[in-house]
Amino acid sequence: MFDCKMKILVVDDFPTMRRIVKNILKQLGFENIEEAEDGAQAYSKLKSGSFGFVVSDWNMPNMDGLSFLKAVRSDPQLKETPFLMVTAEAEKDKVIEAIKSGVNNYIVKPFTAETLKEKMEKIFEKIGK
Amino acid sequence: MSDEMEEIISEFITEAEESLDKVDPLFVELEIKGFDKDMLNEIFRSMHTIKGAAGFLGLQSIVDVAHGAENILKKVREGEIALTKQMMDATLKGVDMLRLLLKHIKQKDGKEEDISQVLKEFEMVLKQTEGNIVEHIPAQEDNLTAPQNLPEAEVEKHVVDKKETFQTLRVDMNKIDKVLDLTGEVVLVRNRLLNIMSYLEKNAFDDPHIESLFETVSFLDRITSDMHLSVIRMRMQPIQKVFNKFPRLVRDLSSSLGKDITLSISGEDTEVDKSVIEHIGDPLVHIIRNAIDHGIELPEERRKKGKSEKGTISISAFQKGNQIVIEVKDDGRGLDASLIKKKAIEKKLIKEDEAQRMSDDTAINLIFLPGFSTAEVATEISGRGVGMDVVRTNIAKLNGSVEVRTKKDIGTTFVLNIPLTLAIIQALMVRAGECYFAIPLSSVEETFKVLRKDIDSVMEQSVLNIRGRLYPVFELSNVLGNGNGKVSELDYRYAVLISLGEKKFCITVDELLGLEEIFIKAIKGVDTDLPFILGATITGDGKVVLIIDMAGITRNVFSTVGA
Repeated sequence: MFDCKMKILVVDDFPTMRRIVKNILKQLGFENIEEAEDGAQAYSKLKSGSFGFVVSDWNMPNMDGLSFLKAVRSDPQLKETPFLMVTAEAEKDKVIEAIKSGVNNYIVKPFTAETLKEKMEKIFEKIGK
Repeated sequence: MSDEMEEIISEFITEAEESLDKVDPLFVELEIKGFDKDMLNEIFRSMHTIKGAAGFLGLQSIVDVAHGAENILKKVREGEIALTKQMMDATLKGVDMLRLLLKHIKQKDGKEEDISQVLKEFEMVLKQTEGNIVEHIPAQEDNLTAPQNLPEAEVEKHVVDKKETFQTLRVDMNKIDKVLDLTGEVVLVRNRLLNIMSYLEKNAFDDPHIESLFETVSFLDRITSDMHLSVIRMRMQPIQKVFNKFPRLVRDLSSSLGKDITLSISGEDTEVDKSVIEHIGDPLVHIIRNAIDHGIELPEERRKKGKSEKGTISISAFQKGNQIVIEVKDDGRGLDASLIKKKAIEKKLIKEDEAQRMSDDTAINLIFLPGFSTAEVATEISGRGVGMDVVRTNIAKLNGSVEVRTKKDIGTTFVLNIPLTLAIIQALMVRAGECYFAIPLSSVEETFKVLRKDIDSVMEQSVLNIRGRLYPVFELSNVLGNGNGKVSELDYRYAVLISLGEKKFCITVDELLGLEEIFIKAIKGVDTDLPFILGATITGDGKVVLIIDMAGITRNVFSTVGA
């Protein structure tokens, strides 16, 4: 299982979405949550603090989720950070690209706390091995 | 529904609405410029985001509409379907439907909209263009090769560029207003302190403590002004928020009337108070509708007049002193003074002989009278029962004024003057009889001390000759009806030359007490429907003083004079 104290970064350009995701994470017992509104901001936040997990949207201005993921994976300091990509149904075909770029898992919106928990458990199980 | 959910939903509505407002002008720009991937992407993203969040909140009809629009936009972006008028119209209808759906949720009216029509139109767009080869989209080839993500080398650069991001915080408006209100109180206390200081300065200057008190008070004075300005700034937003709606408005109306109109907008960065943003929209929409409907001629007519077939409406905003000026200018046929007079007589707003004496300038201002509308046939567009009088009333509520300038076949310009902030104003303090009043300085042009014998009378109206121009004169006590019929026995009066829009007149009072920065307080619990009173304030010496609404006075005195 995972540590509820770990710092999580929620990335989405739409404030309501960040709030919804944060809310769901809180339901799962996470308290230490920070936000970023696009990939670029998220990337500099990641650099400056020790985050244990990233939940990122795909479609964002400035730097989208995939570019952000690639930036994280090519950064020696950050490349191990667990990364969950939030996608819309329509983007399912693009998921392959994300997996190639090293995403740990993806989740299709809208999702429930239950689904998010499952996905997170899967991610941390794999990492733990 | 839990409070948390309710809060999230209301946040969603605000953000979704904001996002839709940004989309409208993009559509219009797309229509003018043609295919543009960045713009399409931005519109697509708005739809996508709204859909995503709505899905979480269980707002299914919003999901459906946003999904349909998103689908079309995606196909256009990918070059699969063409950017056609039909496609634009359908998508815009979708945007309107989203607005409507959001409105219902916001008002909790439980109303449901039939979205099937909109969805059907989406389908038609998809069907009609299906299988067609899209030819006229120049960026199509790019589409095939350029994936959405940036090349990695650019990623690094982007990160560096974006380091200094603005941090924003959403704060409940009530909290900011509370701070503004308290700041207003501090301003009032500061004023009182300054008043006491000026007394001490004259009477107790040899006390060594006084000097350090002076310093402290003048320091407080500066800080208070700075603080006040900062709080006012918190409430300010760029007027772009309002202007963004206009390209779409002009596009829709002009095409439905068969007119060709270019809209040019400038000064959209000008910042104004939030309440101005909220209330200026409707009057401006009305003025623009009128310009499109009555002002700009049909292409045929314009050609005959030797004008360019394309009409132009320009909207601009700029700051002038502590006023915001908004101009709406069209190059249409202009207002016809004689036609206006004729209409006004028909509607029994003025009498035949009045009309004959009336100057063209005055006649044109008749359009601001309640019940006036020149449209031969009340069209769906502008003749909907709200007229220019509503425009003027709305602007007056913002403490502003509206003027109209017009020239036959050259065009018409509406100029709106609105104060920067609604809460604090510079005022001239005056005494009339035993009462003290504050006159907003924005309407004061000059003050004079005049001898009673210099005030003449023309046709039973008192007038004053100032540098060769005659101005009507009104005694403040008489206008307000608090003079008890008693006329001051002094042989001189103080005259305040009031200038409001194009109207100029003098108000005479017993004494001028000087300028003061006053904080307008609404009068609660008392009937303030009095057209002459804007509110009340507490002066530096602790008196409660009524603030005079010069726009109200102007309307009143000129309705009796008819000049």
